[in-house]
Amino acid sequence: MTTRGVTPAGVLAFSENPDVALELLAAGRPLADAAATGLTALVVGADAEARAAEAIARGADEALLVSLPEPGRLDAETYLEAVHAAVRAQQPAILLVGSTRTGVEVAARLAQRLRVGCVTDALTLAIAGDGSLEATRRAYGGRFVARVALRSVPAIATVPANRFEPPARDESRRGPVRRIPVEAPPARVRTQALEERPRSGTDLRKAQVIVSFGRGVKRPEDVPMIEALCRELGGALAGSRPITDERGWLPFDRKIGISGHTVRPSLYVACGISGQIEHVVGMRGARTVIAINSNPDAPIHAEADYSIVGDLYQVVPALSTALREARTRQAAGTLGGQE
Amino acid sequence: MSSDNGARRGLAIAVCVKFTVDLDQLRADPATGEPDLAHARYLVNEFDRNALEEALRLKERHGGRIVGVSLLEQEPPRDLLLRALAAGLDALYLVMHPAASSGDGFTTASILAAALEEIAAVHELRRFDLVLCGDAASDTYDSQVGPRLAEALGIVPITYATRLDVSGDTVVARRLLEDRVHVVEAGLPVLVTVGSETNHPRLPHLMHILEAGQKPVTHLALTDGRDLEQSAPALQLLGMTAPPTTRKRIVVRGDDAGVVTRRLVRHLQAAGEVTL
Repeated sequence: MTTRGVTPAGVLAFSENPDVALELLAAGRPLADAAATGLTALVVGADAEARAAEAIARGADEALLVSLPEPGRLDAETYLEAVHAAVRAQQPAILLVGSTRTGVEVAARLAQRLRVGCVTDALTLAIAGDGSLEATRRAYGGRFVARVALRSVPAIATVPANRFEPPARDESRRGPVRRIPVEAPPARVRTQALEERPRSGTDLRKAQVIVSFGRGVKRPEDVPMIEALCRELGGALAGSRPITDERGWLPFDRKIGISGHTVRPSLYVACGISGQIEHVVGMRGARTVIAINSNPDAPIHAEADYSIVGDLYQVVPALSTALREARTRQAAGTLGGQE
Repeated sequence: MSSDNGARRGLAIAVCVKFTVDLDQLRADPATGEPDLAHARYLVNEFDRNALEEALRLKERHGGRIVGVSLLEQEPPRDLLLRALAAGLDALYLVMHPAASSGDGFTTASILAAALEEIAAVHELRRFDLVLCGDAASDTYDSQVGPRLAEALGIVPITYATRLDVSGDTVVARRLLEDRVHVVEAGLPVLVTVGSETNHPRLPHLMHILEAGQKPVTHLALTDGRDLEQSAPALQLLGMTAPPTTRKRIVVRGDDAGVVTRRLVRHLQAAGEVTL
């Protein structure tokens, strides 16, 4: 196939996370097509050549490789210099960055340096009639969607993980790979340690049923009560950000939310979760949602198909019992009686 | 305190405080479908409470002074200001600006940076040793202002810090990334963003609340904000809507947990939503 000519204005995509980097190509391709410009993947760090080839096979028109003066130094500071250098070299109209914690920091800092606008966690992206970038994003606990226009150039948007499917590989695609030099200034923030966080190894994205809990569970001794409900439903156990990050009662890979997993199970049970945007973003894709929360005003109820306003310490064990009874009745071939 | 600020008299700490809508109480305006902000209740942003608590802890260990800065469109209720002051601030500066709720991170960070430079001058400081911000505001969840403000101030940000230790002119922070813990070291001054993982904000004693009434609240008129007035915002909010929900929103009621949960199970079975 032929590769379209790359014009100075174009779409530049960067994520330090290799999976998100490919998803950005799906977000960027329609924008580049709409503006009749090219899509460029910026690759920084380890395996850069292989990742550049992968990006081109999956829809990038070209790849920029950054050679770092200190190849081992992979922090926000380094990525910021790399992306800034790529923006100077490429002069893109649109810069897409993966919404990781590092990515959002890089995008926001670069936007301030360039005195331009930045939209974080964009749900949709489109080029408006006047050529500006229009985006939607969630606001106010996820109950509202804000529509914003970015009128500065480049327009910077961060795109959450799992929002777009990576484009299929097309081995016949060809495109140039350019190498740009970066002079990273001396580190102002020095890394003392970079440790893997303990993980459960469970892939929540594959779970059909998820039972999730939040701050409403008061003590670690109470977690088995949630686990019991989870077993009744044959589900996977998960938690909101306070549970994994603040209290450490579950490993980080059981976290649902902006900073954790985005899941699409057929059934999602939220126990003692208030429903902040951080969490809601991760569970919106569930087919059926049950919310158990004592606060009738908690935003989670608006995200639920079935709500129980009540004390989870009574409701959760009762639900385990009700499920067990229903199963017993079903096994006995009787219809559920009237209470 | 960094050598920039002369003799060691403890840490000069600034905390950025946003007053955010109480999401539990927020309703959509039935006429427009937009959030009804006029009737909303406001709170000190959750993660900013963590920033205030962390500032107080650092002051308890190292001595010094904590000032708060808040960018607003209009005067907030007095009790809200008292709540921020009771959480440990020695003084609070309010910057009134029509662009405060524009949602444009560039404007917000630029105004806050100008304000912090003026406040530092008022306190005869060259700059603050530490600027603390929440990881995000609960209403917009933009997560931009902290890192942007660091750039605007020309200092380095340490984002998503869960632990912060200052020793001399050096800060060591534990940062929480998606799958890793990043331990970093930097020289003061720095900007640090914190979240609910960082600490548990204490409840102020009655005495702190009474004292808060005596603490200075100053309206700051920016002298070098002119270029901001003239420049169009880089990000423009076009509108906000409550998307139609596809959720059934059935509230299952009953006299006790047993009744309610049996009803729920029958709902689920009837809808074919659970296989027993």
